[in-house]
Amino acid sequence: MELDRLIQDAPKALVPERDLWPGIESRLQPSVRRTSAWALAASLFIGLLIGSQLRPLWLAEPVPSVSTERLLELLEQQHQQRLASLPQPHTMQTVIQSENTDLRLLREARLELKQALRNQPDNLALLDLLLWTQQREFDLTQQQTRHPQQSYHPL
Amino acid sequence: MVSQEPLRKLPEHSGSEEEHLITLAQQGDRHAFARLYRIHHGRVYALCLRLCGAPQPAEDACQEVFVRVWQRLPQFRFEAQFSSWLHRLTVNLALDQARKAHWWQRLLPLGQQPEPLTELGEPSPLDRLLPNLPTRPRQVFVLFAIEGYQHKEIAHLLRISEGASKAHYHRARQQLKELL
Repeated sequence: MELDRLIQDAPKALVPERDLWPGIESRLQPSVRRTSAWALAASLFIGLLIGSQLRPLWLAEPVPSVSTERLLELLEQQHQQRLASLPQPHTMQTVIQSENTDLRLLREARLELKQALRNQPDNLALLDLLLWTQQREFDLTQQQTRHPQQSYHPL
Repeated sequence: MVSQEPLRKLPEHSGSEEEHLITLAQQGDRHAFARLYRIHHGRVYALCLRLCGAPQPAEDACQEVFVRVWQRLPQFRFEAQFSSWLHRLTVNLALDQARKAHWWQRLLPLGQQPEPLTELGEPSPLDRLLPNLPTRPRQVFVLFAIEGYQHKEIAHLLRISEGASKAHYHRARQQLKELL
């Protein structure tokens, strides 16, 4: 596939339009000092002390609100109904054969996005991604039920 | 999914020569450090350009990388490969640079950019397309498809969920396919 070929041929190095070295050189300090081991140990100790105080706050997982759960439930219900409305493939063998990487990836992404939304119920970007993922999963499934024998072409 | 050797580190130069240059640079030798820059700057710039999405922030990020390398070089103990160390530093700094962009810039594709060229002066078709992607899908795509990171690592680096990383990747592939 053309995209995969472009990825494989992507050059490892690219040239900047201007020489960046003078700008770097002007910022190099004349002497390079080593960090004192004591200073490092002291900052590590202070960091650990602060970290241990804040730890309970980090670990406090947000409890998903009832409305978030309800929204996710409704979205899932709607999504499953749409998938169920698609014409069914003739045999189970067809389903297995037509299962493709994109669909698997999208299903995994959908489940993980739902979990992420439970932790961050106000994150609209996550909700947008979830809706997009559901739509894409529906489109791909529809495409496969229309052309079950078609060989899989990744995006 | 493309099966290719993950890059994950910058290309190796002759090991002993590079070690010698690093040792000299650790002692403050700017000429040795300039040699290290010449060896690695193309790879560092490519990574910065792909993650930042435009030449100006990529140039800033690239310069910042080498300034930080100079500052941190005395702590480099040859326990890891220099190229891997440099790669990690570059990814972190380029992502920081990209985060400095205004929030609305992250939602928009960057559109027309000067065509990036390889060291041989050849155009890179993939790099011509990448600026058309919005920031997040582009960064996920670069890290997963080109640099060989796993979604879990990308999620950690970009502070997003693993599911979001997979969805961004899928979206980026779809958009790139439409652009081809």
